[in-house]
Amino acid sequence: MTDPSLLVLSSLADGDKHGYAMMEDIAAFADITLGPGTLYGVITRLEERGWIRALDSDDRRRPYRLTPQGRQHLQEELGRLNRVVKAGQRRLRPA
Amino acid sequence: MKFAIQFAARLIYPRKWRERYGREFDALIEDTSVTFAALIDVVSGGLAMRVRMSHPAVLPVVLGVAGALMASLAAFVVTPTFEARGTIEVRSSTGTNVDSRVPALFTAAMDREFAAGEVSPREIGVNLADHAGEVQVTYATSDPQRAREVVQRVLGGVVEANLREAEAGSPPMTVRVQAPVDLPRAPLRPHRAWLTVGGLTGVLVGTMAVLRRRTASS
Repeated sequence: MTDPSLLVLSSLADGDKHGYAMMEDIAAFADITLGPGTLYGVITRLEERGWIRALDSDDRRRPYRLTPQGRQHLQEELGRLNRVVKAGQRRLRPA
Repeated sequence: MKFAIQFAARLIYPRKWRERYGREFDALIEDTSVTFAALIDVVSGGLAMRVRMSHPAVLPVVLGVAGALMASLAAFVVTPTFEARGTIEVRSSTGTNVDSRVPALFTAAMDREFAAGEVSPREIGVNLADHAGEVQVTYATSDPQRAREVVQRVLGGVVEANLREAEAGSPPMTVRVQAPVDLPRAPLRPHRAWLTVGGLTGVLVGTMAVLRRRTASS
């Protein structure tokens, strides 16, 4: 699972996070380091689609939250990926 | 390096995007470790965002102009090359096939006409034309006058080589230069179509990028 959009949505699935916290979290659970340009490209796209939303903050580090639509999309995508993983594992098993 | 990343971010990202995300993006850059990869990521991210937020027609136009500029640059960098052409007719007076004797005739002509290193025989094109007995000679160089002179010397040399062979007792052949060698006017390279092809390629790539973007976002 290396699609940056899914990584960001997965990161926000367990709570609100700002950009740097997302980068750290993704590096920890996926061992993938997203650059600042990539991360904010994804954030821009996800916010436009209504899958995440920015929270009010006095801090420059603005946190983001997964919306219900974003959660549904993540569930669908993970379900699809899960089917691919299961099929791949089943086919790799020795006959 | 951190300054370079922040400077690149301010320079490349669209103003509208920076109004919305600029503060938090700067804060993120301050927090992240400074690497060359981060700089590349910010630059490519900024360019992608600029393309994404621009009018759909902008990308084909920009890439079209860029393609035309690159083609123009290539046209200026490449030294113009002019090619002179001449055709000679070689026929046997007795009706026998002369094709086997033609290469030797040209080799003898070029060996005699050109001092070592002046013109490499490999640079001179000698090709049998569609009509039997016709041989086309070509030579390309940056000086059109010199291109014509070399072809004329080769053709003249072939005529003389044939006379020498006849004097030496070889079966007679008729060798005739078909027409005077014209001075080449238009360069063989760079081709004017480069500019058009470069521009059209840019427009095509830009249009495909816009269509791909629309497909991906739908």
